[in-house]
Amino acid sequence: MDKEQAFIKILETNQQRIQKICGMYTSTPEDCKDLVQEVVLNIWKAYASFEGKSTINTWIYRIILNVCLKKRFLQKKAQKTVSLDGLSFDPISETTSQGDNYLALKACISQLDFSDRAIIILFLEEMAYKEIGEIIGISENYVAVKIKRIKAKLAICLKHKLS
Amino acid sequence: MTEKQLKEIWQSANDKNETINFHSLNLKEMNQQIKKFEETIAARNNREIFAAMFVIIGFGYYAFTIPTLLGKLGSIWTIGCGIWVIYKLKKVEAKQPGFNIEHSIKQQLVDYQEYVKSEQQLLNNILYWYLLPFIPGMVLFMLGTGKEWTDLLVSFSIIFIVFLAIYLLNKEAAKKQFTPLLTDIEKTLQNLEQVT
Repeated sequence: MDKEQAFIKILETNQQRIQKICGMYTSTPEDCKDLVQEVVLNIWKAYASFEGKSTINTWIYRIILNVCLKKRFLQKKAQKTVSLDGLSFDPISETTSQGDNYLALKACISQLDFSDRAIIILFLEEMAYKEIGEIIGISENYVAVKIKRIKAKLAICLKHKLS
Repeated sequence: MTEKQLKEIWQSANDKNETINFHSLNLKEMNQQIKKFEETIAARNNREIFAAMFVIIGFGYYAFTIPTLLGKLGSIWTIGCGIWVIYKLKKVEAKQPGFNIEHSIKQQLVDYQEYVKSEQQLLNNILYWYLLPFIPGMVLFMLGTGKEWTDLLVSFSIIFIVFLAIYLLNKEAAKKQFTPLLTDIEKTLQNLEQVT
């Protein structure tokens, strides 16, 4: 498998993950599309230097969160980013059997601060506390504390949204 | 709601089949777009540098052609200021955090905070590093032109108004653009500080 094929394979394997996380950091499908494009671009840019020190999943999470962070704090709103014309894109389906629950969860996660959002996303993606701590830059124990607090916040929010 | 239920809801958004067609990506074209985009960013970052270069070239011309010593001194002083401005802008630009995926979110936030503070400081202190250093050069140059006092007064008034506008606009930008951003970054960082 050549480099380009391997790259496409990585994108295909992680597409749901990329879209879902980007959706958590944007409010409109258009913004989500821009963010996905930027993530794809940065995965491609970083791909040459991927040394396999971490798993591909961890590497992808780091890239997604870094792009979201940069977009959130450094890029001016009107700043134009690269547009990948070849990328046909449909926003992730939110009309699944559990559509209402997912939308409610998304709304509740969107209310969290940037770092809490990242922590809970990584937790929901079944990532180990140790790895979450490494990506976020906090201790494993503190990850556990944070997750407990965030889950409590989400429970209240979801109860309110779904009632 | 249990942890299991939360994760089930989260996973439910994966139910749909393929949503992005990555095979339509043209990677060669993507490389070209990256290059083009980086060139655009570089050109935008160099806008102020070009303005300073324009001043340097303009006053470089005057330094040779103006007959009076005061005029020559004023031109040379202004050229020095132009070089100083380029140095200051490049210094802050160099602090802009790159895309480092090895850094944790917290570390990236610390880097952003430092960079945004430098940018804000640059705008807040524009009087000292940008405007005031130009004044002696301007005064010498204007006196060296040999104009009448009334003409000089008009010229100095125009320079004063322009400098005042630059000062006020930059102060406003520092406050409006960077203060909320810094508060936001600090708040996010505080949220990551472990309270024992």
